Amino acid sequence: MLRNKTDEELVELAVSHDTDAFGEIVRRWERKIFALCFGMLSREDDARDASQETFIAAYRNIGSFRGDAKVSSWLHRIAVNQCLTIMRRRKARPEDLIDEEQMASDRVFSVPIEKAPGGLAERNERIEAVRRAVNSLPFELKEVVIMKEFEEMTFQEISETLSIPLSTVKSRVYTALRQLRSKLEKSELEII
Amino acid sequence: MRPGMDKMEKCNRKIEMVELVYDEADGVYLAELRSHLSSCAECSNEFSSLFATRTNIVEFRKDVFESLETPVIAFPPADISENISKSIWGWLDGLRYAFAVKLSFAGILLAVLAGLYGLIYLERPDEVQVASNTAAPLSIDSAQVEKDPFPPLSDPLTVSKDAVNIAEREPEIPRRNRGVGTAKSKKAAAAVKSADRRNENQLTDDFADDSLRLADLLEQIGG
Repeated sequence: MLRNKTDEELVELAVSHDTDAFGEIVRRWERKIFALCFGMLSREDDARDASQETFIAAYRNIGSFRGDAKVSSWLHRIAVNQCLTIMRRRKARPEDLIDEEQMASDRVFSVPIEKAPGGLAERNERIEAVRRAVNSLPFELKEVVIMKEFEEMTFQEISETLSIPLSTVKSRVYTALRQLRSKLEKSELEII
Repeated sequence: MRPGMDKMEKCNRKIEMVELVYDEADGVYLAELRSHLSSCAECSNEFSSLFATRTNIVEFRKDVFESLETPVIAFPPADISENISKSIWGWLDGLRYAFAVKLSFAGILLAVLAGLYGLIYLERPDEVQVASNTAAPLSIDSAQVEKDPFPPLSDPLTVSKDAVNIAEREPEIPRRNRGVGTAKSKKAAAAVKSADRRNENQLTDDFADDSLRLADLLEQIGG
């Protein structure tokens, strides 16, 4: 029954303390929010924490949700704020950055061999290079790339979520892809 | 031309190119763009490069992210509020059980003490009354005495009792105020003396009146 309702209807129910309605919102958006958090943070445990905190914050502030924005946009903004909080915390604790690099390397090098027919080491190096390149993008470019590739949103959805013109979204994605290409070319030269 | 600006930017087709990379190009422009790419080598290279970069990101996502399970979002909001209320009530219950015996013992002890105090109060009301009188502020009585040191004769006992009380309290006056207290006590003592003198005079007059009446009676008998 709840599955037939729109996000906005579910929010209205959740505001009147219908926890099942909020549960349906979580079910609908948890994967995308997790993808966003993982794309932004590149660490599984941090992404899980950020996702959890996102929905806790959403539930606590659901009374202040205004109907003029989409639920997805609202959740996205909360998730980005949670990610920024965790990133700030990381900067305050440099030892976490070392752990992050190590864990990322461990995760990349744990890709199964059958998934890497072209050679495990080469593939893993490329994946690691992509990860570094994405992480080094300016925030506004990284955000659109993550939304496009990890959340699998359309340009129109990104435009509505970020409240920016459609052409700006496309322009940012284009700029992001060009910067990524430049960074990847540099890393390939370093590898060679 | 800015350094780094290439054919793609000159063509200003970057937006259409991005749409094509992500397969979101409008059908109207799609055919036109495809024909342009087939005729423009630089734009074709640009498109290939952008597409390859995107492919790298897609592979990165598939390899690193898609194998991850979605975290189970425990329904924390409701659980948290329930847990908080449960923990608060649990604490209160714990405190109640821990101190139940002690609190009941203290309550019984308090009741016994209150009962004993009540018994003492009922058995010795005068002392308690005296104690309350001595605790009364001195200024009220002395003011009354100063205001009306010679009360009417119909109620002479009031004046004398207050005055006696004042006289009895004299040792309680602090040393630095002893001069003032002494003056007041002198006034009170004078009031006592004058009241006693009046009482004596009154009694004397009464006897005198009686003797006169007796003399008149004897005169009448004799007469």
